[in-house]
Amino acid sequence: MHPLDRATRFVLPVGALAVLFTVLTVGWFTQPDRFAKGYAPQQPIPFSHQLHAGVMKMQCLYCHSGATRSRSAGVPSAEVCMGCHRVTRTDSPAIQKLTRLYNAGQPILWKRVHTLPDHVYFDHRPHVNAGIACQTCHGQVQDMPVVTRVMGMRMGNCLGCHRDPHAALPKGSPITRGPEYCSACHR
Amino acid sequence: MGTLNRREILGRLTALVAGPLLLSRKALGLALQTGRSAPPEASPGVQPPRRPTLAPPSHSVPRRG
Amino acid sequence: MKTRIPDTPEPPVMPPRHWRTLDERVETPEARRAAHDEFLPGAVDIADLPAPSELSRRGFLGILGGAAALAATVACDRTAQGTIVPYTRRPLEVIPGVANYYASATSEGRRVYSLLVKTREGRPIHITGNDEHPGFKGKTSLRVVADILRLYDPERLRGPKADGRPAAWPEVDRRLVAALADAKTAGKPVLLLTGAVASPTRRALLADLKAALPTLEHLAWEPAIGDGALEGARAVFGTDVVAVPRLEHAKVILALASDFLNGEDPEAMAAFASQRRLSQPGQPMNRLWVLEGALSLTGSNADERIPLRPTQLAAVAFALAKDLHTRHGLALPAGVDLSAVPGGVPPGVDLPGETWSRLLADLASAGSGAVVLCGSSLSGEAHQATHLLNAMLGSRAQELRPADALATLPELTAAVQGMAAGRYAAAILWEVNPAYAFPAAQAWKEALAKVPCRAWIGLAEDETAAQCSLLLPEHHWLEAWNDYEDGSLAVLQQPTIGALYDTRQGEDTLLALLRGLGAAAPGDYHTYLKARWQRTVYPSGSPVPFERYFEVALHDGLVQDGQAPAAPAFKGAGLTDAARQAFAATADGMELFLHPGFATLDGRHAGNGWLQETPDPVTKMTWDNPLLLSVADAQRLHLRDGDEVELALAGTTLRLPVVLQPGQAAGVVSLALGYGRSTGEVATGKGVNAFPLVAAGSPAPFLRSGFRLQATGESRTLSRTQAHHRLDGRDIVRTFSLAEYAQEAKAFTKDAEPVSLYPDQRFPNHKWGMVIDLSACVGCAGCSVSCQSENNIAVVGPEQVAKGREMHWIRLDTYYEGPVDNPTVVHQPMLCQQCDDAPCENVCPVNATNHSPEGLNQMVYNRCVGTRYCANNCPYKVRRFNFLDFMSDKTEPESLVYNPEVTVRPRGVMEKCTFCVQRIEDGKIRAMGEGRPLRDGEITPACVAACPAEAIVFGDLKDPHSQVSRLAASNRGFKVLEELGVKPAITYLADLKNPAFEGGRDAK
Repeated sequence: MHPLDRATRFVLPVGALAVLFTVLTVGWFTQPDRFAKGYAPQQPIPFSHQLHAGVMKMQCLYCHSGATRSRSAGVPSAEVCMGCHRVTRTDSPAIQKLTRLYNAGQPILWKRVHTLPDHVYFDHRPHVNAGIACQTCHGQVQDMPVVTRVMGMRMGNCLGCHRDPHAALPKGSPITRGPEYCSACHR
Repeated sequence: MGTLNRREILGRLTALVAGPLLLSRKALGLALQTGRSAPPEASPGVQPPRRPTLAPPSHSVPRRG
Repeated sequence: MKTRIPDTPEPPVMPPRHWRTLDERVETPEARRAAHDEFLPGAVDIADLPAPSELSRRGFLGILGGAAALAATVACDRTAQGTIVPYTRRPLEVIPGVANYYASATSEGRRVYSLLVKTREGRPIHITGNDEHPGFKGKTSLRVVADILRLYDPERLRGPKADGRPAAWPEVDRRLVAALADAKTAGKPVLLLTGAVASPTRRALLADLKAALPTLEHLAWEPAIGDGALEGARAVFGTDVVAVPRLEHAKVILALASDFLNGEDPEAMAAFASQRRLSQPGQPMNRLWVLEGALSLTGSNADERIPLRPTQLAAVAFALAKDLHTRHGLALPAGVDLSAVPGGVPPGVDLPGETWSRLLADLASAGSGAVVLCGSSLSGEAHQATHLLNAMLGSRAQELRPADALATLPELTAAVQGMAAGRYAAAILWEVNPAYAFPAAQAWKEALAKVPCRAWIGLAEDETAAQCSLLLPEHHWLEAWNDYEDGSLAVLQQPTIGALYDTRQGEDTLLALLRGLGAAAPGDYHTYLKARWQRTVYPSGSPVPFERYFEVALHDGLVQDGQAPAAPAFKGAGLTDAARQAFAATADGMELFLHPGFATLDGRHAGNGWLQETPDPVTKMTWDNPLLLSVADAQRLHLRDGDEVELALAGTTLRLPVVLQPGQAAGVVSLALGYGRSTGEVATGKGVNAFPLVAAGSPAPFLRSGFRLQATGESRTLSRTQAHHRLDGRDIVRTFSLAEYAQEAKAFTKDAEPVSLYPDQRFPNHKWGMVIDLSACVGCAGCSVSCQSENNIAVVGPEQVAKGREMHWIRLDTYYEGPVDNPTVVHQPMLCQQCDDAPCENVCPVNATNHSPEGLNQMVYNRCVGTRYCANNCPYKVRRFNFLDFMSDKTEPESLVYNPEVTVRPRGVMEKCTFCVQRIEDGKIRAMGEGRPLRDGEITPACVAACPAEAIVFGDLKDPHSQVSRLAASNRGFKVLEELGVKPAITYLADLKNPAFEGGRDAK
């Protein structure tokens, strides 16, 4: 047959499949799992939400103060911890490690539990300002000794609630739907 | 295909191959992950490639609200 | 609404009379062919592929196999989501995700810009004008907006250098202080060459340095300001003077080669545009007369424009003064004698008598409401005549402020000769680049080599730094302290980020020198500045403590400081001589008009990719400075667009391409300064350096004649966007004279809407729309640069621009109408029209683009696979495709400029204007958080916020009281290509011109 025919009928499809296989394999191993339900990594400092938010009933917003003002709720700076831990439980090795890092000005590299892909521009503000409890998406954090991801946080989760937010909203909220249009989250 | 000349075929094949080629190079780059954060050497002359330090200004007054 | 089903295509309301390129005007076969292909053949050319690395085939396969195995092990924890790292001690004002704004300022030449800098996570990402400034009102110059790139320029010098090797600050300080101390003991002069000093505190510091080192010789030099402007002011006022236009008081403006609308002066643009936004015929409108050689942006906005040779303009101005005196009875100032000046149109000037009389009548009847502006490239005589005219008219539309003396080229030449003679013990060069911009650059280099100690203070190593033994890199203004005087306002510049590198503010270097010379001086300029403010600016007897006062001043960015300086007195003694010289000036053959580059000014911005790629508002050239020719001259010389010529004058030969520019005066060629740099990756090799053609010592250094122009036979591809989108005879833009407006306002709006197969879109809450007033739009491209800054728009480079792949989401389209030698021009900002029935939406195979319930056409990058069908369908050609990876390889520091709210697009996705949806969503969320409805004007896309002429208005079309709804109903309103039935959300308001004579420019 014509040499160009051979190229298109045999070499090209095989070559394309080989490349596709490589790309998918490499991608599988190197891209983070976005559907990581149940992910509960060990953190550099064994901070327990069960203790602070559960037993001591500290407000979520005390530490994650960005939730009402910014797209990201934020993780508290070491200084927020030291606000109490300058004096409390200074005998604990975890607190001593915290103090050491704080005094040296070294960052604490928390393992991120909740993350969304780069093409999602999630904004905490409208959700928190609408009165939606943090637990709705983050689970019963106040019962977690180690923060665990309870929601896959796929687009379907978001859309499902946006289409019928009744369960997540406080009673008497005038909001009936969340945005379903693309540019609310994808810019 | 019979009506195309060699140059046009070559052009189309380039376009066809270019995509997967560039993609696989990207995949390789991701897999190898060697020191990507080194900033480019500034020309001319030898300079220690210092990374920029991001620090807030010390005495500046931002707008409120 | 009457629905007709047309059986024949509906003829456009206005018969098309506009054209964009000379080819199009004549409809050459090339034009038709070029119109056929949306995307040039070869979307990926072999030439575009990155060069293959030095890798053998075996090596490649080996890596492939190893990489696959490695990949399996390298990221075992697939579920890891990365790390999240908070501050150790969060600065109180930083909330991650929330922008902080700092009031700051900068200067360019003698101009001061009061600014607001938006920072995110501690780094500046966007610059706008200071909204607290009563003049700027939130607007600024596009070059200042783009200057943020220089903060993150990877080629910035990151630490001091001594003799070419990195050194520490103490070492360079020691050496420089030693050199100055030696000079002081020996009584030898030290040369300090800087740019214009617009800061009173810097001026005070220089005075302190002069007191400590009496032999210091300070020259302040601005290469872009012609000597004519300086000498003209000195002759008439006895001091340097800056004439600040106050065009809100101007009914008639006469611009003599003055490009005051080019974007540098947002206040002038705002004032000019404020009198052109008519809502009804019969309302007052100003009139702009422009006499110039090359078509400038200001000339393109003229109501009446006469192309003349620039060397004739001085005589024209004096003749106008004479006739205003003899024919209209305007008194001459004391001591001025124009008896030797002939009245009427000067000989050899191609200006009809009727036009002349009309110009005089306009000026005389406007009286103090008239102003004459003179371009800085013109001769000293032209400037003197302009000052005379304004004095005769008693113009209120101009504020004269005394200014610090700038060095003229003869003064600089004397310094160069001094250096060559070994006079100077040391030379300090601060924010100047004479090795590039001094006309006799070779003489400069040879002379500087004779100075024992040569110190350079600047941002990135340039041509001048190459010769200096001590390199003292300075902070970018975004990292530094300063203050400026702006009339009666004292404006403050404060750092918006800590220093990125081991650099030091230039003033801190001077303070170190002061201390080294034994004078008492504070450790840093911040302290020095505060001390001076406490002494001189802080009102004595104020009940507010100084610290609080200064804090408020920094917050606002400015304070009132006394009165505006008194205008200097007019002294007409030398005018008679000037008039005689003006009439004696002749040019043999063709004349060359040099002017500061739109993007580059005097070359300082040549390394700025945003500015290089912003098309020149008139020629639409990018990345290059071609020689502009009139069409008549080109025909005579058998030259076409892109042909290469050799320009030879006084020992300098330049090889450059030509561009045929409609509106260029016959016999005049023009060339922009600021190109042809030889340092910096972005700047090198772009264009030619025209500074060697500047004639030091001439009364008009930027006007040359006696050059040789010869075609080389070669031809170059031009990176020019004017030919990128074709009219195809369609009715796209509307311009009216005032008389036409009065007649046609009623017949203007179409009453038949094309029938549509699609159901009407429903917009329950908001429907975002825009109105763009072409009469206010000047065409400065400030919107484009601001959009680029806000939306992370890529710079693609000259080769890609030549293929039509520039990425600007909003572009200025320029249309000509009328005769080729003097057309009327209209600029039209073109951006995504967010069509209700968008033709791009229903052809996307993956639904990456669709319509939002608020009227926006959404572009979802993560779905896009790059079919480009949507761009094919777009009638406005506003969709831009990422043919190559323009952004993804950028690392720090370049990546620090990105706006974190907008995706950085990779190769293969389509992008377009989103009406700054990130700002819309943010505005809505803020309002919701504060429990209130949105206010009209609260949300401003970047282009809206940037436009100094306020030509773009954005808002909710569902709100009948919003400004956009009111303007959209204007009788000047039209939609572009409305007959296609796509229902664009943007209404344009027709451009209005106020000509003195009806019938267009053919009529005279």
